[in-house]
Amino acid sequence: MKSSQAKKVLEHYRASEELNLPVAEAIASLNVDPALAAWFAQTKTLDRSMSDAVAAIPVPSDLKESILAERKVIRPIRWWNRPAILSAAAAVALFAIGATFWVNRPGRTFAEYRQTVIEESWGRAPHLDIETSDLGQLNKWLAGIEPTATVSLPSGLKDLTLHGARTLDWQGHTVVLLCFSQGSKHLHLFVSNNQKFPDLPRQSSPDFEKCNGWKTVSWTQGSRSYVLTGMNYFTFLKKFRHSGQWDLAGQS
Amino acid sequence: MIVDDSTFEQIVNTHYQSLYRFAFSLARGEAQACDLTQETFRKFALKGHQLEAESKVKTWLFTTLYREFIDSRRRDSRWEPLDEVEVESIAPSDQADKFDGSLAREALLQIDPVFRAPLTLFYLQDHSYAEIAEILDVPMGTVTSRIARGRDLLRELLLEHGRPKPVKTISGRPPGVPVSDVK
Repeated sequence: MKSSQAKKVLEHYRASEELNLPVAEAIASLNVDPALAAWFAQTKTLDRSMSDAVAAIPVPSDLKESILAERKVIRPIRWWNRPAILSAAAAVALFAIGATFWVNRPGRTFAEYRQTVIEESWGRAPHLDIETSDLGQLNKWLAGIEPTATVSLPSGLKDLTLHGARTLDWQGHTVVLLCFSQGSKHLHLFVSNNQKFPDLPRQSSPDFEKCNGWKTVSWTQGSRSYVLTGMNYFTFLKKFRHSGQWDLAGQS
Repeated sequence: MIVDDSTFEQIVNTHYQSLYRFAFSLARGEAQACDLTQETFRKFALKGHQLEAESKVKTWLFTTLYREFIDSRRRDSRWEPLDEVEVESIAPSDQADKFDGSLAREALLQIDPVFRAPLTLFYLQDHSYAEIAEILDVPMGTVTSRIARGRDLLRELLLEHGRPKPVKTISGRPPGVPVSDVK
């Protein structure tokens, strides 16, 4: 076997794999080709070092706990996430009933609300009506628009930099969009009051969903519902979950 | 397959560290790597029962994480400028010819993700070439050539230059050539 051929074979040979004829021939070439043997030894040294380096990448100690904690708050799998046969059977059974309600459906679900406000918030430039980092000043401005629209922030958001706000209208309800940043991250928090949705997130327990490619976390606290975009789930868990409990209550 | 709490925990135990390390090699920091890992398991919690067998879990997890990374990169580029990765000088000069662990890791992080992804999977030592091809959704020949090219780039960084200065991500592909055209 030529040296160049042997190199090609040995380049991808891993000791854990079974020997086949070309590999066996290439390995035999190492005994008669010192240059090839030197190259092979150097390659193996490099591979060992790289494998050790990758294996030594430190894993955050709380990552596993966060993964398992999130599993506990994920909503039960809905029927359309179950295996296809179950879904098909359920769909047929529900079709007649569903069709009746579909015609007269109110057209208001939390999922629709979330999607609409997120799309609107990213579609306009500039996207703020008031620019301020002072929550008190912002609340004065909001009170002038609608007294119940003033906001309080959970402690997990206190270390973010507030940039300002704007209001949106969702079917007659005022929705407040707050704009924050943290480092290079750009975050939006939507707060609305007294909205009645059949699929509203549970009280004091966040709902993690992807919406138009955005990671969102939604929760309800009292009569207010919150939707947060732009924050990594892991960061959210670190900020809002302490000693196995969610800390989502707003503070003035 | 049935994924109850104990199966889920067992799967997390088996794979979360490798997944995190793969994510870390792709991402721009610990937070994003954690998020990629967590999002992968979140998806698994929702869809894992659709897998036919437990033997598919590993490849499914890594494939999902890689797609999530590609999606997040695309999404981030819509809203914030993607800074080119700048890495600090990777070693004092007297250590330049040693395969120090952090030196090797920093060298890996300087390589374009096109080569870094298959290389990391290769160096995790837990995936066959066929599995790497499946995870990255490229032909096996492309995997072998990217690993070979990536290894060459590592050699260049670790052996020839000795002490790389802070540099931008090394692409290993000619300017203007899209990722999809790199074999």
